Amino acid sequence: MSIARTMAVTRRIINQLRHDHRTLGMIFVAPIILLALLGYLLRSEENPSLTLAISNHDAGAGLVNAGQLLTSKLKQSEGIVVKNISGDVREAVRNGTVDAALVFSPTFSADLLAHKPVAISIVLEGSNPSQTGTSVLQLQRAMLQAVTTLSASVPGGSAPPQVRISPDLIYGNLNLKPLDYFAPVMIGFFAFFLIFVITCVSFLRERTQGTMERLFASPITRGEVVVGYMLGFGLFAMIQALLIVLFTTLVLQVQYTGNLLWVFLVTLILAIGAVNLGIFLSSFARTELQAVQFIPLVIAPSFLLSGLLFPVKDLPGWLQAVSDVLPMTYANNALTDIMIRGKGLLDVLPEFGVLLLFAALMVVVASLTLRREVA
Amino acid sequence: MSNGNEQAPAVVISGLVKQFGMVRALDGLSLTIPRGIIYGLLGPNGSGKTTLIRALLGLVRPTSGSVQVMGRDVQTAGAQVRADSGYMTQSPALYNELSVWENVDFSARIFGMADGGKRKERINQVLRLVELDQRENSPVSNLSGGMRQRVLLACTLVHQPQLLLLDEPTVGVDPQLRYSFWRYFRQLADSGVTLIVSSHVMDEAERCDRLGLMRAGKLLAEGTAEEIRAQAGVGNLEEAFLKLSGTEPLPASPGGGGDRIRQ
Repeated sequence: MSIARTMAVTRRIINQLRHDHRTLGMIFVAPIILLALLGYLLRSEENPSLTLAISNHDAGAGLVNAGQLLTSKLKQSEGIVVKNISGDVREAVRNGTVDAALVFSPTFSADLLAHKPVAISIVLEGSNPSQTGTSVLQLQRAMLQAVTTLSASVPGGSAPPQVRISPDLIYGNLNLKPLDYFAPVMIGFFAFFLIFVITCVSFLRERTQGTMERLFASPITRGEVVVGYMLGFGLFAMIQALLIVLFTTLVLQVQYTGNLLWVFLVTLILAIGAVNLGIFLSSFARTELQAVQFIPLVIAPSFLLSGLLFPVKDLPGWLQAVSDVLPMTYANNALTDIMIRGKGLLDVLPEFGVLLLFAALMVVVASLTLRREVA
Repeated sequence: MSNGNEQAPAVVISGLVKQFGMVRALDGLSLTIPRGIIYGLLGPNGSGKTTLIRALLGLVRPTSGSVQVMGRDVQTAGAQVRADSGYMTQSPALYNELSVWENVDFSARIFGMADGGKRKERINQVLRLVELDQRENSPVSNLSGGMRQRVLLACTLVHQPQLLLLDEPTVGVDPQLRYSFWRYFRQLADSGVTLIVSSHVMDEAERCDRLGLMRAGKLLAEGTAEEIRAQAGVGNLEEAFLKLSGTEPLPASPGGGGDRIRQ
């Protein structure tokens, strides 16, 4: 293998992309715009302010009125606006004056003191299941916080019983937001797909424009072509990964705990697999339009089944089998392990190994699809 | 630059057959081309000229028969054959995003011109030759068809190949440039380079030292222009070609059998 010839290919790819501003935009600007959009959407979903009506029928027990105490705590809760509703709270929920209503029963305080199971009923509009879920979650979280601070603020003795619900999270914290979860997987997703698409199309162009024939009329070997491509696009993938990591951590202020160097390394290996997958699949297309048709074919399974949107363990068995062969699944696991669970490269060695194996396999199949002989 | 066997002819082809599915692109072709001449491959589209050129570089695998270039077997010593050859493809296969200079520089590098200073000097030389030294920083996408053809020629020549394979190099080139191309081809041949030029332009055929008339993967006639005219017993090459390929020209009609060799 000639390093000079390999580097000639790498250099050419760098020059080509340097001159091709649209493609550069696709690699560097598109992920930033999409992440910014995603960040905006997920951030606004984090604190949808919930207007709440509280109907306190709690008669109290002795000096304590738990319903009142909870109400005042809830009023201080972030993202909850407590509205005073005179009249039927159910009606207020129905006509949309408030998003939800809490009803404390007359025996709320008494039940609490008597260690009886307490029920707090939440009135919700209920037509939109995802809205319902979000509201319930938000109320639960607010209640949890209210109850926790309440039991901490009241000294022992005549205080309400220890309604101690202490959240015990192994990873992350109660402040971990959807965006924080999405950021690591998005880094992998963009690295994989944009690099795949660009390699696939530029390699196809090399075939259709006839430059491939001229390339093979030189002493260059197919291994040199593949490695040259890999290094060229690998460089852009590296810059892209760096930009995405910096953007998500500095601008979107995504929380992370692990070492960003490992994030970078995992992303790079994934991108190298993507370059060679692009070369490999480009040999099955005759036109650029056909190459574009591969995009959904490759993207859809990875997007849906890699754990990016739905947890893999919730998938039916046969789909889990598909998930198991997707490199994105391993990249997602490794990236979330590193960024959210703060693990090191050694902890994600199995995932990293699978990604390396995938990259190596793709180098081999990409080389095999290259033929010097047109027939 | 090692040239294999210095005494061997530039090209020795014997019994070359290339079958593409049902189509026999080369049909038992045998041909010897001496060094340092311009050899013209003439024939209609689809007669096998491009396949023959590709076979010389190991870009098609022969169904049977053998190909030797400069005394080297293409099947076993393809890399050396390719290193000493320059192939100008029929389509202007260039990287449109790259500048003129970057295209030529890439060709130089993949042919192993590692020395930066020498490479630069040589690129300047070939760009002056094709009269593009003023446009070296232009992206190829901004160039006219004729200019692209010149960039392609510069790419083909940059590593100083001993065998030049030019597949219809003057298509889309204006008469003035075509004249300077041919003048330069002659200079190269005089310096010992062997050129194989495919064409279906008859006035270009007259400029070649030897000609091979191809049709349906076979060599119909081979020799100097003079010999071919004599063989056909006619006064000009076009008539000779039509006669040898078994197509009688229709005197009054511009169409007829003659359209096979129209430019």
